[in-house]
Amino acid sequence: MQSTEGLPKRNYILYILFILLSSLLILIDYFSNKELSSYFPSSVTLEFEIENVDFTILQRLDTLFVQRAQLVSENIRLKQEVQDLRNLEIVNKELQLQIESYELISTVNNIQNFELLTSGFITKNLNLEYLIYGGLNQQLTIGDLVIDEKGFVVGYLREVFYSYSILESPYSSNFNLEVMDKYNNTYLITSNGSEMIISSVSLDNYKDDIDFLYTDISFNHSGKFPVVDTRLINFEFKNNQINSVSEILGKFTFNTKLFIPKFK
Amino acid sequence: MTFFRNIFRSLFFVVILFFETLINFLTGLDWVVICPFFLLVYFVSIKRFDNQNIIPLVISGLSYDIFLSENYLGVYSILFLSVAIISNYVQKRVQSVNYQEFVSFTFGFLIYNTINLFNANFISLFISSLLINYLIYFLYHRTLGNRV
Repeated sequence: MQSTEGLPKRNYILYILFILLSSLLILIDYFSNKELSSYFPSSVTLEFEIENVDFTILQRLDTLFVQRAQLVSENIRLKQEVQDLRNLEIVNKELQLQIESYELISTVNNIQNFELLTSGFITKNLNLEYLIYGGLNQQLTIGDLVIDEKGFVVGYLREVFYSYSILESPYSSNFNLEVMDKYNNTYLITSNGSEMIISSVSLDNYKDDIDFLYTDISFNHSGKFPVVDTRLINFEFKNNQINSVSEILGKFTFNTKLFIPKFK
Repeated sequence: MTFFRNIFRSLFFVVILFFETLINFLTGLDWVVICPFFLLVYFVSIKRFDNQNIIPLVISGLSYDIFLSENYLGVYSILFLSVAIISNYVQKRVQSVNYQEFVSFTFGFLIYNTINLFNANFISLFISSLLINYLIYFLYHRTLGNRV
C-alpha cells in the first residue's frame, strides 16, 4: 500500500483511463439501446428454492446400533416435524396476511375485472427509486400501474427486468402521471421528491365534489384507480386552474403489499 | 495472486454497496442516507490510494448499473472513480487548511450524490447525511482506523 503523501499526479492516469473506458461503455450501451445493461437483469431470477435437509442417510445406521439409531432417527424425525410445523406456521401467517390484503383490495370498485399480480419491495437504490418483485416473467411492461392494498396507485413501472422492476413512485422527482376526475377534467401529477404537485391540464367541467383523481385507460393506464383523495388536501380552483401541493402519504416497507392490476 | 486479490476486493466492495441500498431501505428515513460504501471509497482514496482499487470500483459501479438502476452501463463506475480521485486530490490540495479531512469528505460526498442533485430537498438531505456519515467515519477512524 502506498501512502498518500508525495503521490505524483500521474497516479490518477489509470483512474482517468478507466473513466474514459466507462464512458465508452455508456456510449455502446446507448447505441445498443441498453442491450448491454439489460442482458443480465433480463436473465437473472431472484426466486430461491430452499430444499429441506435429507436425513435418510442417517436413518440407515440402524443396522449397526439399532436402539441408538432408533433414538437418533426418532430425534431427527421429531426435529424435522418441528421444523415442518414452524414452516407451516410461517406459511399460515403469510397466507393470513395475504388474505387480509386481498379482502381489503376486494372492496375496490370493479377489481374483479382485473387479474392482480402480487408484489413487494426488494430495496431502494441510490436514485431513491424502489425495486419490486415481478418483471418480464409475469408479463409486466413499462408503465404498468402499481397499487397498494387500498387500491390507491403508488406508482408505475419505469423499467422492467426478468424477475424484478423499478418502481417510479412519488418519492422520485421524475414521477409524472396524468390523471382524470369523474367529470373528465385532466390533471398532471408530478413530484419534487417530498411532495406531489397537482396541476390542471384541462378543466372543461370543473365541480367541487370531484373527491378523487383517477388513472384512466385514455392515458394508456391499465384501469381506473384512485391516486389522490382531494378531500384530504388543499385543492382549490383559482384563476380557472388548479395548482395544488400534497404530501406523500404512507411509507414503503418490506411489509407493504403491492398489486399490479392487469385487465382480464 | 493479484487476480484473486482483485476478485475478493471487488466482491467485498459489491457486498458493501448492496448492503448500503438495503440498509437505507430498511431504515426508511427520508432525511438521511447512510452510505457505508461511500465511507469505504473515501477511506481507500485517502488512506490507501492505489491503482488496485480501480477494478473493484469499476466492478461495483457496473454491478450497480446492471442490477439496481436503469442507468446506462458505466455511469456509476465513473461516479465512484470520480469520488476516489476528487477526494484524494482535494485532500492533498488542502493539507494546509484546518479540517482538511472534512473538506475533502464534503467534496467526495457531493460528487457521490450528484445524481440526486436536482431533488427538491437535496440540500437538507445532503447536509444531514454528510454530518451523520462524517460522524460514522470520524468514530471509526478514532476507534479502529489507526489499527488497520
